[in-house]
Amino acid sequence: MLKMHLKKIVLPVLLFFLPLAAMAQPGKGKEKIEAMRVAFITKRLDLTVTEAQAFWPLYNQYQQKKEDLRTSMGVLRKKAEKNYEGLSDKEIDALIEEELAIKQKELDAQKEFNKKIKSVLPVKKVGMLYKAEEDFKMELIKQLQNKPSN
Amino acid sequence: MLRIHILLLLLSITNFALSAKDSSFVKTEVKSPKHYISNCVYSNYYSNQERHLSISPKLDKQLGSYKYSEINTGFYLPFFTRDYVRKDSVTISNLHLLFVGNFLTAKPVFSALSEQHHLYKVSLGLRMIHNNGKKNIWFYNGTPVTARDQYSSPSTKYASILVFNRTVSQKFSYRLGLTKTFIFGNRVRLPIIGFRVGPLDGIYMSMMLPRNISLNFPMGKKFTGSFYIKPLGGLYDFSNRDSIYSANDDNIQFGRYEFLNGLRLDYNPNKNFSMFLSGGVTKYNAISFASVDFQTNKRGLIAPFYIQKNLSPSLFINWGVTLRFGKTKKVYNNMNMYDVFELNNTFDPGDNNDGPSNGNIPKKGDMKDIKKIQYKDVQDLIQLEDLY
Repeated sequence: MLKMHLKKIVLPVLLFFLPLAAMAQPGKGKEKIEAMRVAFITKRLDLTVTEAQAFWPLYNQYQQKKEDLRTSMGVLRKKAEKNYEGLSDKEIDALIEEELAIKQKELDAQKEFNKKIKSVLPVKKVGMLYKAEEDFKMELIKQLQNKPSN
Repeated sequence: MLRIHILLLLLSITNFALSAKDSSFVKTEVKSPKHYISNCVYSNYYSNQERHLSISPKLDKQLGSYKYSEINTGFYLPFFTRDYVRKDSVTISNLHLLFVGNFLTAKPVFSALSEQHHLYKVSLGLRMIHNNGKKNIWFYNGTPVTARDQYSSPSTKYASILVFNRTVSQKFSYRLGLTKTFIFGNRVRLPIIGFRVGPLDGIYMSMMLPRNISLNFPMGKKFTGSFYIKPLGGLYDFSNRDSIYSANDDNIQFGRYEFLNGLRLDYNPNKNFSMFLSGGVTKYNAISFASVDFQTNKRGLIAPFYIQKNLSPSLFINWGVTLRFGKTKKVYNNMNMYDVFELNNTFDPGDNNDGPSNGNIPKKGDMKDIKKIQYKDVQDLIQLEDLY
């Protein structure tokens, strides 16, 4: 009976779903990098249970804000690159203003995060966090140095 | 004068249109994800082997042998999520409301019956999860359920679960609660007592009585294995057209359950898709028939007029797929949210004890993967000034 089920139902459905599983996921690389960064920071900060419970929700929220702002920046830059010669002075000026506004929002988000995080982590660990973030970025850049740009 | 007015009006309209064009030109605001829990649809198939009955000589002859299979499709859709910042102005608590439901079709095959009964179970309910951001999570699921065969008229039962979870640490949480359930082939009200030892993104043991006991272990980056014991069953309105019950009732109640002792292998290639294959042996198999105007005992249990609790064990196969949709908020290392996900997956929408897998709990990052990264993966993460 099990053999019959295997032939008639299980295999066709598995065959139907396998391409879905194999399908390339947009943003999958980014997710992997995020998971790596989290692992990197976890190792560096060595948080206590109480610290971790307060720290990670705040850090995730901050990272989400940062990601949204960077995506906005990406959209903006693509708009400019697409047809720069065809843009009016007014439009170029608006783009520059918007880029500055996004950068300001990112700085505001970091300030807000910094203020909150200081109340759940000792300042020494906050400093270690920023250092760990920079070090992780440098690790990424090092890895990319010898790779073709495409 | 009028011409000047019209001209001014036209000019102001044109100016407004132009400024609107400008503001939309630089509009780059990205929609941030609303929910932590993604929309989820899953479908599971279960089947066991043919066995002989020994309920009563009359009924054994009338029913013949018994085997059972089912396909259960369920979903949960978050429709409200709200973060609240607590008094300390840093702790984030959150409330999640979800629509949940399932559609189950089942085939209990009694070999001697000329026309087989097909069972249908439909549920649609609401789920509420509150995470206080510290260590406590409250989980409530209320689901009206209709469970019947194709001949009987529908009646509604109500299944519910209330659970309190305390996430003591990354490696330990415990749960207490109450449930009204039909998974033991009867209408039972039971306490929920459980705990988890080990991190949810690593090796962990979970005992969630009366729902499941499992030992879970990651196998590489995309696979997870688990040994488990869990009951699977239900209580259905069943037509008395075969005169199983000698009284003149049109409908009776058909109850069944078995304990699955199995090994399960989950494949989680990404957070949007997962599938599992499981097999093993069913133990403590039981089927029962009760009158619709059932007698209840002191604990409110339905007293069946026919019951067989010692059906011989059977091999079973169980497999399923889970699809998750929608962008969700980040939850890395947020142990409370991992427990929210685990609660949400363990207590399935349709009171069938056959829910989706924990594929939405983020996997631990591995720095060895850094060698595989490409430019396109980091272009939004590293800005030009980072290179100086």
